[in-house]
Amino acid sequence: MRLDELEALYRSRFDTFARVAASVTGDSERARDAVQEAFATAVRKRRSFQGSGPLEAWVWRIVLNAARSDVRRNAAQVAYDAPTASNGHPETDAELRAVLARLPERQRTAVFLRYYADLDYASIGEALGIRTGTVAATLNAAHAALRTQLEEART
Amino acid sequence: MSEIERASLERILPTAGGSADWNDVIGRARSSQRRHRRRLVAFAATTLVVVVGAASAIGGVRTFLLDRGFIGLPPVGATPSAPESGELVLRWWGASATHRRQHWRGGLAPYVGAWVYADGRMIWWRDGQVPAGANGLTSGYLEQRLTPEGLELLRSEVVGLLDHTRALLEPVPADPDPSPGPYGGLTLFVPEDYGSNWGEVWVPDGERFVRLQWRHIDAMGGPSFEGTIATPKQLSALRRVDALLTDPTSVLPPSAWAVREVRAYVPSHYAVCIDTSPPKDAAYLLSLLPAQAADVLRDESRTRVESDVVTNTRDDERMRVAGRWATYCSKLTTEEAREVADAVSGLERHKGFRSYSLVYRLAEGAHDWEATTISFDPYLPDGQFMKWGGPR
Repeated sequence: MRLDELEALYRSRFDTFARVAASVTGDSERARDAVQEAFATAVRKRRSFQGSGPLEAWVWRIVLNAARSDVRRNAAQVAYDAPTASNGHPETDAELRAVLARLPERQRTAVFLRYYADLDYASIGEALGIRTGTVAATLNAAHAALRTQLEEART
Repeated sequence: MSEIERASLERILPTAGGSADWNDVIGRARSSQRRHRRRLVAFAATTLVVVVGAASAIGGVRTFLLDRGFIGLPPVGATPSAPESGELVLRWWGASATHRRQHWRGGLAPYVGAWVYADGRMIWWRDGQVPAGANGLTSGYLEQRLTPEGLELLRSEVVGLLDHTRALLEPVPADPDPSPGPYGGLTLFVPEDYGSNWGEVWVPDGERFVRLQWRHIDAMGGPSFEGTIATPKQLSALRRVDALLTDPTSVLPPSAWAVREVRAYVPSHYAVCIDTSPPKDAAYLLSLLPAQAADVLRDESRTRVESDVVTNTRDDERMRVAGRWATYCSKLTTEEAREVADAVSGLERHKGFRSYSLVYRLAEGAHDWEATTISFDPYLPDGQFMKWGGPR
């Protein structure tokens, strides 16, 4: 894999990587640091990329591992339950944030990868180190939990 | 699903904590590489004196060649076999009648693997007492080198001999099973006194490989194999192919060799594989490893293969499917593999394979086949590797 392919991915998707990483670390600065470290790792190990899946999925796995390592080092708690400034959807966003915060980390990350980063199931599987069938099951479980808890929150 | 919309996620995700900076990424990569090199230099320091001494003793030669086979990782600084990759032209794998000794495994023939490459390299291992072998049970991977003329002599004779069994030659599957079979398919059945009860040899046939496999005549009529009983001429040809590929030093003329002396094959890459039954997620398996080993393996690409565990679990000794097995393998440079191996070196070695391969137990299971292990096996120049040192 060529260095310029990695650079192009970094430049076009930096924001997405950094924001999803922040959902793991709970801290934007540390998430940026994790993304920088992860891309540095990808640059160093790019010759080991065998091309059996998309480059982006491989990089996602490195980014998520870097973010998780940061959490282990800093014992951070992901804080979703504090509402953000009013943006026209304060109530529903606060509910969704609270419900997402209660999901297991793998389910929550799968949701962000699927619906925010727009990855397909195979890429999510590669990024999370699980099989494609397990991705479907993980997302189904997340959907079920979100549906139930959002309904409870709204009644 | 209505409750998950990108716009909602966009609003609730924290904003990026700074802007993109590719130069910073490159700077971090370089400083990480420098740290990595410093670690390797520190590790190599203990052997430097030996290497320099050896080089001086042989007149300033800068390579560090090993004159004995080894199991696991090579000594630090050992010169890898060159070139790193090579085109396979012949392969042997099986019990060798040439090396059969009455005292070995109750008179059974020792197993031999041999790979011949277009650049003249012949890489092989053999079980039993082998001069320059790694230990008393196996040679480890060894290397010799043929001249272009020697290679052509060997190749043409093997191909010519296999003409006697042309009707049994089958194309090698694109992704051949790395285990010793049973494969099924066309087979040459050999009598009990032949000296080898199984094996296969690959030869090129245009763009692909074809193989001849043989089995003890007892396998005839079984569910896996169909074929014919070997004629005297076919047996004689097979015996000669066996000698050519498993004992070429004795059979080929001295002029066939560019390097007749046997040296260790030092690979550039290792297959680092985690085996587990029942199958488990890679993330869980990595959590069983010491942090330093997990850190190396976490970011590597890996393949995953799942298969049945077939074993005799009951008193009647019939083989049955007892469960499922998953194998994750990553291709690591020798130095990366060494980093992992060093990190797991405090774990218990797998006793059954101690003499043949570097295999550590990561976790026990309810049954012996459910143990979780990590193994280190060399990659050959054509990209093959044999897990756990090959079949035993």
